[in-house]
Amino acid sequence: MDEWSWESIYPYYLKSEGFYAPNQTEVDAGATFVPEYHGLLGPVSVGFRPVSKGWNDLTTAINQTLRVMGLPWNSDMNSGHMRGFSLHPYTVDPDDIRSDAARAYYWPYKTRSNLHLKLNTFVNRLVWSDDDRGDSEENIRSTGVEVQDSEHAKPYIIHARREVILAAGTMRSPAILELSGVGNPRFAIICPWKL
Amino acid sequence: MIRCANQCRTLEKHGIPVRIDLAGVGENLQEQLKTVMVASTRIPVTGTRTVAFASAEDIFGPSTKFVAESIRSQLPQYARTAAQESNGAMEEEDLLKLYEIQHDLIFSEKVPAAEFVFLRQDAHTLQTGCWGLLPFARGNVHISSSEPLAQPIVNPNYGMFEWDVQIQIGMSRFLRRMLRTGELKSIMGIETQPGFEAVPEDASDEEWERWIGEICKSIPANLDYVLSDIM
Repeated sequence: MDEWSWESIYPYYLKSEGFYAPNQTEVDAGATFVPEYHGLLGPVSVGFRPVSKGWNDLTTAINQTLRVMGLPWNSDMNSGHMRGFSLHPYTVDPDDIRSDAARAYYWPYKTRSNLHLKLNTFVNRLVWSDDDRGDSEENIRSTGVEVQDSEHAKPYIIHARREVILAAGTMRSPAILELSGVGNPRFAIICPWKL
Repeated sequence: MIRCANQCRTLEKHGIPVRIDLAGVGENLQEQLKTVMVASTRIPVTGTRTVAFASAEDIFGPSTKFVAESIRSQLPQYARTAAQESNGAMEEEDLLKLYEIQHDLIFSEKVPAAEFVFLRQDAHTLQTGCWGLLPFARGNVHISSSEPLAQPIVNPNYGMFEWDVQIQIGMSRFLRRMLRTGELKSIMGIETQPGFEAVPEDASDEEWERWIGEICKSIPANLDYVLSDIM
Protein backbone atom coordinates (compact mmCIF):
# COMPACT_ATOMS: atom_id res chain seq x y z
CA MET A 1 0.00 0.00 0.00
CA ASP A 2 1.64 3.19 -1.18
CA GLU A 3 -0.64 5.71 0.41
CA TRP A 4 -3.61 6.21 2.71
CA SER A 5 -6.14 7.08 0.03
CA TRP A 6 -9.69 5.98 -0.68
CA GLU A 7 -8.50 3.98 -3.71
CA SER A 8 -5.80 2.08 -1.86
CA ILE A 9 -7.82 1.27 1.28
CA TYR A 10 -11.28 0.67 -0.23
CA PRO A 11 -10.50 -2.90 -1.38
CA TYR A 12 -9.80 -3.84 2.25
CA TYR A 13 -13.12 -2.46 3.41
CA LEU A 14 -14.80 -4.68 0.82
CA LYS A 15 -12.63 -7.61 1.90
CA SER A 16 -13.64 -7.21 5.54
CA GLU A 17 -17.39 -7.01 4.88
CA GLY A 18 -19.96 -9.81 4.80
CA PHE A 19 -23.07 -7.94 3.66
CA TYR A 20 -26.61 -9.31 4.03
CA ALA A 21 -29.21 -7.70 1.82
CA PRO A 22 -32.38 -6.35 3.48
CA ASN A 23 -35.55 -8.46 3.45
CA GLN A 24 -38.80 -7.21 1.92
CA THR A 25 -40.11 -5.72 5.19
CA GLU A 26 -36.92 -3.75 5.63
CA VAL A 27 -37.03 -2.60 2.03
CA ASP A 28 -40.61 -1.43 2.54
CA ALA A 29 -39.43 0.51 5.59
CA GLY A 30 -36.89 2.33 3.43
CA ALA A 31 -33.74 0.19 3.39
CA THR A 32 -31.86 0.59 0.11
CA PHE A 33 -28.39 -0.48 -1.03
CA VAL A 34 -26.18 -0.69 -4.09
CA PRO A 35 -24.51 -4.13 -4.40
CA GLU A 36 -21.27 -2.89 -5.95
CA TYR A 37 -20.38 -1.04 -2.73
CA HIS A 38 -20.44 -4.15 -0.57
CA GLY A 39 -18.30 -7.22 0.09
CA LEU A 40 -20.08 -10.53 0.60
CA LEU A 41 -17.38 -12.82 1.95
CA GLY A 42 -15.70 -10.91 4.74
CA PRO A 43 -15.80 -11.64 8.50
CA VAL A 44 -17.58 -8.46 9.62
CA SER A 45 -21.33 -8.89 9.18
CA VAL A 46 -23.20 -5.86 7.86
CA GLY A 47 -26.94 -5.64 7.45
CA PHE A 48 -30.10 -3.83 8.37
CA ARG A 49 -31.66 -4.00 11.82
CA PRO A 50 -35.20 -5.37 11.97
CA VAL A 51 -37.50 -2.55 10.98
CA SER A 52 -40.99 -2.31 9.56
CA LYS A 53 -43.02 0.62 8.36
CA GLY A 54 -45.77 1.69 10.72
CA TRP A 55 -48.29 4.50 10.91
CA ASN A 56 -47.02 8.08 10.73
CA ASP A 57 -43.61 6.85 9.66
CA LEU A 58 -40.90 9.39 10.47
CA THR A 59 -38.56 8.13 7.75
CA THR A 60 -41.09 8.94 5.05
CA ALA A 61 -41.87 12.36 6.48
CA ILE A 62 -38.22 13.32 7.02
CA ASN A 63 -37.36 12.12 3.51
CA GLN A 64 -40.07 14.25 1.92
CA THR A 65 -39.17 17.30 4.02
CA LEU A 66 -35.47 17.08 3.26
CA ARG A 67 -36.20 16.63 -0.44
CA VAL A 68 -38.21 19.85 -0.36
CA MET A 69 -35.21 21.51 1.30
CA GLY A 70 -32.83 20.24 -1.40
CA LEU A 71 -31.29 17.23 0.36
CA PRO A 72 -32.09 14.02 -1.56
CA TRP A 73 -32.31 10.36 -0.53
CA ASN A 74 -28.93 8.61 -0.67
CA SER A 75 -29.40 5.00 -1.71
CA ASP A 76 -26.06 3.83 -0.32
CA MET A 77 -23.59 5.94 1.65
CA ASN A 78 -20.98 3.19 1.44
CA SER A 79 -20.16 4.52 -2.01
CA GLY A 80 -18.14 7.16 -0.21
CA HIS A 81 -20.53 9.90 -1.33
CA MET A 82 -22.39 10.56 1.86
CA ARG A 83 -24.45 13.66 1.16
CA GLY A 84 -28.14 12.99 1.58
CA PHE A 85 -30.63 11.19 3.81
CA SER A 86 -30.54 7.48 4.45
CA LEU A 87 -31.69 4.52 6.49
CA HIS A 88 -28.30 2.91 6.96
CA PRO A 89 -27.05 -0.60 7.72
CA TYR A 90 -25.19 -1.62 10.89
CA THR A 91 -22.48 -4.08 11.75
CA VAL A 92 -24.99 -6.77 12.71
CA ASP A 93 -25.59 -10.34 11.53
CA PRO A 94 -28.97 -11.66 10.30
CA ASP A 95 -29.97 -12.41 13.91
CA ASP A 96 -29.39 -8.74 14.77
CA ILE A 97 -26.35 -9.66 16.90
CA ARG A 98 -23.62 -7.05 16.73
CA SER A 99 -20.63 -8.18 14.69
CA ASP A 100 -17.93 -7.07 17.10
CA ALA A 101 -14.17 -7.67 16.93
CA ALA A 102 -14.39 -10.91 18.92
CA ARG A 103 -17.12 -12.38 16.74
CA ALA A 104 -15.52 -11.33 13.48
CA TYR A 105 -11.84 -11.84 14.19
CA TYR A 106 -11.29 -13.95 17.30
CA TRP A 107 -13.82 -16.76 17.87
CA PRO A 108 -13.47 -18.27 14.37
CA TYR A 109 -9.69 -18.37 14.74
CA LYS A 110 -9.08 -18.99 18.44
CA THR A 111 -7.57 -22.43 17.94
CA ARG A 112 -4.64 -21.05 15.94
CA SER A 113 -1.46 -22.10 17.72
CA ASN A 114 0.17 -18.71 17.18
CA LEU A 115 -2.75 -16.70 18.57
CA HIS A 116 -3.04 -16.07 22.32
CA LEU A 117 -5.58 -13.76 23.89
CA LYS A 118 -5.00 -12.56 27.44
CA LEU A 119 -8.18 -11.28 29.01
CA ASN A 120 -8.36 -8.99 32.05
CA THR A 121 -4.73 -8.08 31.44
CA PHE A 122 -3.75 -4.43 31.47
CA VAL A 123 -0.73 -2.97 29.66
CA ASN A 124 1.26 -0.61 31.88
CA ARG A 125 4.02 0.36 29.45
CA LEU A 126 6.31 -0.73 26.65
CA VAL A 127 9.57 -2.38 27.66
CA TRP A 128 12.77 -1.24 25.94
CA SER A 129 15.70 -3.34 24.70
CA ASP A 130 18.17 -1.46 26.76
CA ASP A 131 16.36 -0.24 29.81
CA ASP A 132 19.61 -0.24 31.79
CA ARG A 133 22.00 0.96 29.14
CA GLY A 134 20.11 4.04 27.98
CA ASP A 135 20.74 3.61 24.24
CA SER A 136 20.22 6.52 21.89
CA GLU A 137 16.85 7.05 20.24
CA GLU A 138 18.07 5.48 16.97
CA ASN A 139 18.99 2.16 18.60
CA ILE A 140 16.06 1.81 20.91
CA ARG A 141 13.67 -1.10 20.33
CA SER A 142 10.62 -2.36 22.18
CA THR A 143 11.11 -5.92 23.39
CA GLY A 144 7.78 -6.43 25.09
CA VAL A 145 5.14 -5.02 27.36
CA GLU A 146 4.77 -4.80 31.10
CA VAL A 147 1.31 -5.95 32.16
CA GLN A 148 -0.72 -6.47 35.29
CA ASP A 149 -3.62 -8.82 35.98
CA SER A 150 -5.58 -10.03 38.99
CA GLU A 151 -3.89 -13.44 39.05
CA HIS A 152 -0.40 -12.08 39.66
CA ALA A 153 0.56 -10.02 42.67
CA LYS A 154 3.08 -7.95 40.71
CA PRO A 155 3.27 -6.63 37.15
CA TYR A 156 5.21 -8.90 34.78
CA ILE A 157 6.67 -8.72 31.33
CA ILE A 158 5.46 -10.41 28.16
CA HIS A 159 8.43 -10.57 25.81
CA ALA A 160 8.21 -9.99 22.05
CA ARG A 161 10.51 -11.91 19.78
CA ARG A 162 9.83 -9.82 16.71
CA GLU A 163 7.84 -6.65 17.30
CA VAL A 164 5.25 -4.93 19.44
CA ILE A 165 2.24 -3.37 17.75
CA LEU A 166 0.51 -0.71 19.83
CA ALA A 167 -3.16 -0.34 18.87
CA ALA A 168 -4.90 0.83 22.01
CA GLY A 169 -7.07 3.52 20.44
CA THR A 170 -7.01 7.31 20.41
CA MET A 171 -7.17 7.64 24.15
CA ARG A 172 -4.93 4.86 25.42
CA SER A 173 -2.12 4.67 22.85
CA PRO A 174 -0.79 8.16 23.72
CA ALA A 175 -1.06 7.30 27.41
CA ILE A 176 0.90 4.05 27.02
CA LEU A 177 3.53 5.87 24.97
CA GLU A 178 3.91 8.58 27.59
CA LEU A 179 4.10 6.04 30.40
CA SER A 180 6.85 4.38 28.37
CA GLY A 181 8.85 7.59 28.13
CA VAL A 182 7.78 8.57 24.62
CA GLY A 183 6.40 12.07 24.29
CA ASN A 184 6.99 15.73 24.96
CA PRO A 185 9.37 16.17 27.89
CA ARG A 186 8.95 19.88 28.38
CA PHE A 187 6.22 22.51 28.21
CA ALA A 188 5.99 26.25 28.33
CA ILE A 189 2.41 26.47 29.58
CA ILE A 190 1.81 27.43 33.17
CA CYS A 191 -0.67 24.90 34.48
CA PRO A 192 -3.54 26.55 36.32
CA TRP A 193 -4.71 23.28 37.87
CA LYS A 194 -2.81 21.15 40.36
CA LEU A 195 -2.35 17.57 39.24
CA MET B 1 -14.62 31.63 20.80
CA ILE B 2 -15.56 29.08 23.41
CA ARG B 3 -12.66 27.62 25.36
CA CYS B 4 -12.97 24.50 27.38
CA ALA B 5 -10.82 22.75 29.98
CA ASN B 6 -7.12 22.47 29.28
CA GLN B 7 -4.75 20.44 31.42
CA CYS B 8 -0.99 20.34 31.24
CA ARG B 9 1.36 17.47 31.71
CA THR B 10 4.97 16.53 31.31
CA LEU B 11 6.94 13.31 31.42
CA GLU B 12 9.56 14.79 33.70
CA LYS B 13 6.87 16.12 36.00
CA HIS B 14 5.58 12.57 36.49
CA GLY B 15 9.05 11.18 37.03
CA ILE B 16 9.09 9.15 33.81
CA PRO B 17 12.52 8.98 32.12
CA VAL B 18 12.33 10.29 28.57
CA ARG B 19 13.31 7.60 26.06
CA ILE B 20 12.11 9.21 22.82
CA ASP B 21 11.51 12.94 22.52
CA LEU B 22 8.36 13.03 20.37
CA ALA B 23 6.26 16.16 20.73
CA GLY B 24 3.36 14.84 18.65
CA VAL B 25 2.32 12.15 21.13
CA GLY B 26 -1.22 12.85 22.27
CA GLU B 27 -1.64 15.94 20.10
CA ASN B 28 -3.75 16.69 17.01
CA LEU B 29 -6.89 15.14 18.51
CA GLN B 30 -9.88 15.81 16.28
CA GLU B 31 -13.22 15.29 17.97
CA GLN B 32 -16.64 16.22 16.60
CA LEU B 33 -18.84 18.42 18.74
CA LYS B 34 -22.40 17.18 19.18
CA THR B 35 -25.45 19.17 20.23
CA VAL B 36 -28.84 17.56 20.76
CA MET B 37 -32.26 19.02 20.04
CA VAL B 38 -35.50 17.37 21.11
CA ALA B 39 -39.03 18.00 19.88
CA SER B 40 -42.41 16.46 20.64
CA THR B 41 -44.85 15.24 18.00
CA ARG B 42 -48.55 15.99 17.76
CA ILE B 43 -49.41 12.44 16.73
CA PRO B 44 -47.78 9.11 17.64
CA VAL B 45 -45.00 8.32 15.20
CA THR B 46 -43.10 5.20 14.19
CA GLY B 47 -39.77 4.73 12.46
CA THR B 48 -36.19 3.71 13.02
CA ARG B 49 -32.97 5.67 13.33
CA THR B 50 -31.95 7.55 10.19
CA VAL B 51 -29.13 9.87 9.26
CA ALA B 52 -28.61 12.90 7.02
CA PHE B 53 -25.29 14.31 5.86
CA ALA B 54 -25.30 17.90 4.62
CA SER B 55 -22.70 20.17 3.07
CA ALA B 56 -21.93 23.70 4.30
CA GLU B 57 -23.89 24.94 1.31
CA ASP B 58 -26.94 22.90 2.38
CA ILE B 59 -26.71 24.42 5.86
CA PHE B 60 -25.94 28.06 5.08
CA GLY B 61 -27.73 28.44 1.73
CA PRO B 62 -27.33 31.94 0.26
CA SER B 63 -24.96 32.94 3.11
CA THR B 64 -22.45 30.21 2.23
CA LYS B 65 -20.13 32.45 0.20
CA PHE B 66 -20.02 34.99 3.01
CA VAL B 67 -19.32 32.28 5.59
CA ALA B 68 -16.61 30.74 3.39
CA GLU B 69 -14.79 34.07 2.98
CA SER B 70 -15.11 34.88 6.66
CA ILE B 71 -13.67 31.53 7.74
CA ARG B 72 -10.89 31.72 5.16
CA SER B 73 -9.79 35.04 6.60
CA GLN B 74 -9.66 33.45 10.06
CA LEU B 75 -7.43 30.52 9.09
CA PRO B 76 -4.11 32.21 9.92
CA GLN B 77 -5.39 32.92 13.44
CA TYR B 78 -6.63 29.33 13.78
CA ALA B 79 -3.20 28.05 12.71
CA ARG B 80 -1.39 30.33 15.13
CA THR B 81 -3.59 29.35 18.09
CA ALA B 82 -3.58 25.62 17.35
CA ALA B 83 0.22 25.68 17.02
CA GLN B 84 0.58 27.45 20.35
CA GLU B 85 -1.83 24.99 21.97
CA SER B 86 0.15 22.02 20.69
CA ASN B 87 3.29 22.71 22.73
CA GLY B 88 5.64 22.48 19.79
CA ALA B 89 4.01 19.42 18.21
CA MET B 90 2.73 21.36 15.21
CA GLU B 91 4.12 24.30 13.28
CA GLU B 92 1.91 27.23 12.39
CA GLU B 93 2.75 27.07 8.66
CA ASP B 94 2.00 23.35 8.45
CA LEU B 95 -1.31 23.84 10.21
CA LEU B 96 -2.22 26.67 7.85
CA LYS B 97 -1.63 24.39 4.83
CA LEU B 98 -3.76 21.68 6.39
CA TYR B 99 -6.47 24.17 7.29
CA GLU B 100 -6.54 25.51 3.71
CA ILE B 101 -7.07 21.99 2.42
CA GLN B 102 -9.82 21.49 4.98
CA HIS B 103 -11.46 24.77 3.94
CA ASP B 104 -11.40 23.67 0.28
CA LEU B 105 -13.00 20.36 1.19
CA ILE B 106 -15.79 22.12 3.06
CA PHE B 107 -16.52 25.00 0.66
CA SER B 108 -15.19 23.96 -2.76
CA GLU B 109 -15.49 20.18 -2.77
CA LYS B 110 -18.61 20.55 -0.60
CA VAL B 111 -18.04 17.36 1.34
CA PRO B 112 -20.54 16.80 4.15
CA ALA B 113 -19.76 19.11 7.06
CA ALA B 114 -22.87 18.34 9.12
CA GLU B 115 -24.46 15.13 10.32
CA PHE B 116 -27.98 14.79 11.71
CA VAL B 117 -28.88 11.57 13.52
CA PHE B 118 -32.65 11.27 13.88
CA LEU B 119 -33.76 9.10 16.80
CA ARG B 120 -37.37 8.30 17.59
CA GLN B 121 -37.06 8.38 21.37
CA ASP B 122 -40.67 7.27 21.81
CA ALA B 123 -44.00 7.61 20.02
CA HIS B 124 -44.11 11.34 20.75
CA THR B 125 -40.47 12.39 20.77
CA LEU B 126 -37.89 13.05 18.08
CA GLN B 127 -34.33 13.49 19.29
CA THR B 128 -31.79 14.82 16.78
CA GLY B 129 -28.05 14.71 17.30
CA CYS B 130 -26.24 17.45 15.38
CA TRP B 131 -22.58 16.70 14.69
CA GLY B 132 -20.19 19.23 13.16
CA LEU B 133 -18.04 16.85 11.12
CA LEU B 134 -14.98 18.95 10.31
CA PRO B 135 -14.00 21.18 13.20
CA PHE B 136 -10.80 23.20 13.04
CA ALA B 137 -10.26 22.59 16.75
CA ARG B 138 -7.32 20.41 17.68
CA GLY B 139 -7.22 18.83 21.12
CA ASN B 140 -5.01 16.40 22.96
CA VAL B 141 -4.82 13.35 25.24
CA HIS B 142 -2.19 13.10 27.98
CA ILE B 143 -1.56 11.16 31.16
CA SER B 144 -2.46 12.82 34.44
CA SER B 145 -0.03 10.77 36.51
CA SER B 146 2.50 7.96 36.25
CA GLU B 147 -0.12 5.48 37.52
CA PRO B 148 -0.98 3.23 34.51
CA LEU B 149 -4.55 2.60 35.68
CA ALA B 150 -5.38 6.29 35.93
CA GLN B 151 -7.58 7.68 33.17
CA PRO B 152 -5.75 9.92 30.72
CA ILE B 153 -7.01 13.48 30.47
CA VAL B 154 -8.86 13.98 27.19
CA ASN B 155 -9.10 17.60 26.06
CA PRO B 156 -11.11 17.93 22.84
CA ASN B 157 -11.00 21.75 22.80
CA TYR B 158 -14.65 21.83 21.75
CA GLY B 159 -15.68 25.12 20.21
CA MET B 160 -12.08 26.31 20.03
CA PHE B 161 -12.65 28.22 16.78
CA GLU B 162 -15.51 30.22 15.34
CA TRP B 163 -16.27 27.74 12.53
CA ASP B 164 -16.78 24.95 15.04
CA VAL B 165 -19.53 26.98 16.71
CA GLN B 166 -20.95 28.43 13.46
CA ILE B 167 -21.65 25.00 12.00
CA GLN B 168 -23.51 23.95 15.16
CA ILE B 169 -25.59 27.14 15.00
CA GLY B 170 -26.24 26.56 11.30
CA MET B 171 -27.37 23.01 11.95
CA SER B 172 -29.64 24.10 14.79
CA ARG B 173 -31.34 26.71 12.58
CA PHE B 174 -31.58 24.20 9.71
CA LEU B 175 -33.26 21.71 12.03
CA ARG B 176 -35.79 24.23 13.29
CA ARG B 177 -36.63 25.10 9.68
CA MET B 178 -36.88 21.42 8.84
CA LEU B 179 -39.45 20.71 11.53
CA ARG B 180 -41.62 23.48 10.05
CA THR B 181 -41.37 22.19 6.48
CA GLY B 182 -43.16 19.63 4.31
CA GLU B 183 -44.68 16.53 5.87
CA LEU B 184 -42.85 17.09 9.15
CA LYS B 185 -44.74 20.33 9.66
CA SER B 186 -48.00 18.54 10.35
CA ILE B 187 -46.36 15.95 12.60
CA MET B 188 -44.09 18.02 14.83
CA GLY B 189 -45.23 19.77 17.99
CA ILE B 190 -43.04 21.91 20.23
CA GLU B 191 -39.30 22.01 20.75
CA THR B 192 -38.42 20.84 24.24
CA GLN B 193 -34.63 21.07 24.02
CA PRO B 194 -33.33 23.70 24.03
CA GLY B 195 -36.83 25.15 23.67
CA PHE B 196 -37.77 28.70 22.73
CA GLU B 197 -37.36 29.93 26.30
CA ALA B 198 -33.72 28.91 26.44
CA VAL B 199 -33.02 29.90 22.82
CA PRO B 200 -35.66 32.17 21.21
CA GLU B 201 -37.20 31.12 17.91
CA ASP B 202 -35.27 33.75 15.96
CA ALA B 203 -32.24 33.73 18.23
CA SER B 204 -29.09 35.62 17.38
CA ASP B 205 -25.71 33.92 16.97
CA GLU B 206 -24.78 35.08 20.47
CA GLU B 207 -27.85 33.44 22.01
CA TRP B 208 -27.11 30.16 20.24
CA GLU B 209 -23.46 30.41 21.21
CA ARG B 210 -24.41 30.67 24.87
CA TRP B 211 -26.36 27.39 24.69
CA ILE B 212 -23.58 25.64 22.74
CA GLY B 213 -21.01 26.93 25.21
CA GLU B 214 -22.90 25.34 28.08
CA ILE B 215 -22.85 22.02 26.28
CA CYS B 216 -19.09 22.31 25.63
CA LYS B 217 -18.45 22.88 29.31
CA SER B 218 -20.78 20.14 30.49
CA ILE B 219 -18.98 17.39 28.59
CA PRO B 220 -16.47 16.03 31.12
CA ALA B 221 -12.82 16.43 30.19
CA ASN B 222 -12.30 12.77 30.96
CA LEU B 223 -14.39 11.07 28.31
CA ASP B 224 -15.66 7.52 28.37
CA TYR B 225 -17.19 6.82 25.01
CA VAL B 226 -20.28 4.70 24.85
CA LEU B 227 -20.24 3.18 21.37
CA SER B 228 -23.96 2.57 21.27
CA ASP B 229 -24.48 6.30 21.32
CA ILE B 230 -22.50 7.01 18.19
CA MET B 231 -23.19 3.92 16.07
